Amino acid sequence: MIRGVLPRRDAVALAAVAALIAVAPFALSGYYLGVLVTAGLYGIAAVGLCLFVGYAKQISLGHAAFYGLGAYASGLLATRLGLSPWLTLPVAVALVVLAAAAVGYPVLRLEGNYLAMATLALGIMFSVVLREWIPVTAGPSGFSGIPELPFPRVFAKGEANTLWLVWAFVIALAALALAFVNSRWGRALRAIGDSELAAELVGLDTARWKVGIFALSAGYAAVAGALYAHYVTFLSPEPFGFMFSLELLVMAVVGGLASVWGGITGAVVIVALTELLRRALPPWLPGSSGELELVVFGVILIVVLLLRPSGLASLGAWVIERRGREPIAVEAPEAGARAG
Amino acid sequence: MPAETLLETRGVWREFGGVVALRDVDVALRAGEILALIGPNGAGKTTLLNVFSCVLAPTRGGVYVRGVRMNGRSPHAVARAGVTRTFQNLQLFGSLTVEENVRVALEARGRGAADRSGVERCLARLGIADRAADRADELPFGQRRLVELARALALEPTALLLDEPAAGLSLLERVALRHLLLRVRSDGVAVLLVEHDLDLALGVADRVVVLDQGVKIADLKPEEVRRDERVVAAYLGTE
Repeated sequence: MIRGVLPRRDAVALAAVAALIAVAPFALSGYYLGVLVTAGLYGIAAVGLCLFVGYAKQISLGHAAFYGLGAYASGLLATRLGLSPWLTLPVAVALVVLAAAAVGYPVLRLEGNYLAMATLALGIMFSVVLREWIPVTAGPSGFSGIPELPFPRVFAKGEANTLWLVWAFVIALAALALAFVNSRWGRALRAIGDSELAAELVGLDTARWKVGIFALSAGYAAVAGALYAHYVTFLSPEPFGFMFSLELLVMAVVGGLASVWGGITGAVVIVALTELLRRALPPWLPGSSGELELVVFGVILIVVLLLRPSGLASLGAWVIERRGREPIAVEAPEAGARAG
Repeated sequence: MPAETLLETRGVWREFGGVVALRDVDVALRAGEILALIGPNGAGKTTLLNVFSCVLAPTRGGVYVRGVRMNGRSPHAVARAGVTRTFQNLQLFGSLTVEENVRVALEARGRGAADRSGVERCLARLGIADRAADRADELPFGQRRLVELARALALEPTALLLDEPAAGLSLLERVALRHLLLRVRSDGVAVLLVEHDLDLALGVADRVVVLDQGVKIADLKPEEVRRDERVVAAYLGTE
């Protein structure tokens, strides 16, 4: 599927990312490698969110639930049943995709603010279930002992091995998403995002399409969540709340909603900024908590939306276009009017 | 032998709260004809198009495509039954190129991405082949209307519903539209034309239905329209 529909520019960019990740363990300390692992995990979820929000132009304030469900499903299956994480990961993703499709069928009849509220409610309900269904989830205190994903270790530093593994998933899933958006399915998806009414009247069953892309998007979040579970080997409900849904949305918007690269760019930028602020703020603002980061994110979001609404990832394409563009004559306004 | 009825409303009512937009309307579109639907603003023309295309459900009465009742069906079901339409307020896939707008329609019909000649043919037919690579929302208004029409024709419909297709077009483009409509009819496509440009509508139509305040007040031949007292009183007025 990828051959023929993955544009050359994207293939080159993916290869460049792969090369950077390949050399990162030789250049960066364990701390920075950990930051990149986190960025990779969030990037996978943000790419999925971009497909749903940026291309299909729907809204989700509850994607943390799918991330969490993927994490808990894979973590619990591996811990309680002793199954290999390589088996529990795809099973967890399949479960999340099915759950998202089942939930999406009624919920995606809603639009705009109503859909936002419904997905917000889904996320909140999931958080409550994680906290209250103690026999299964171990409640607020969480559970540990989740096995790591077994794979050949190249480096002594654990983070370096995980970095390669996680970013192999990032690159593979980004390639899949890029191939998808450049295929006939991607065209149909963008058409639905532009005008559901017109899409219906060319014969597209928009309700089914929206459920499908919601489930695919949830699947991306689930892969990221399952990788997270087998990376940290401990799960509690705290990371999967509303704030994480919001953070994913901020990553997607900052990077560029209608772009697969936007999800990855946004995740790297926001995760890097978060770490930077965690280090930089305390000397300036003693006693400042992590919530101050949200203020900075808010400011960044506003600045990006005002100055670069298509997101930071579009800067690369803009630079390439400007460098490659030949001078063109300015068309007189009258000429444009006549053409109309 | 009378032509087959492709599209039909039987006793259709459509109410919005207390407002009756359509009142017991029977309209039939027959194979191979151009039926003009005219009337003053607020007569219910666009509402009737919305009912025909299942964008709106009738409050009472039935909508039929080739005799099959379509009430409760989705617009995509109507499209798959061979009925498509354009809109008074353009509904383009704005972030897609002109070519992609047409390609989406072809692909929705199950025609593969390899059907490049089909896309080119559709664009050439509307005279916009040179804009194939441009984003649809960056075109001048008149050309955007042509893209919408090209996309509708790419579906090879048996019935085409056009809502004010000449609005915003230049004189030359209107002439081209007139020729296109006649060509579409000669290809066997039935056209339901809502149009305020009476010269265009009466110049191409085989039959004219006149709506006023949601009621069908006349079903005439084009040459009878300007002489009909009901139409003159409700729509054309006297000088």
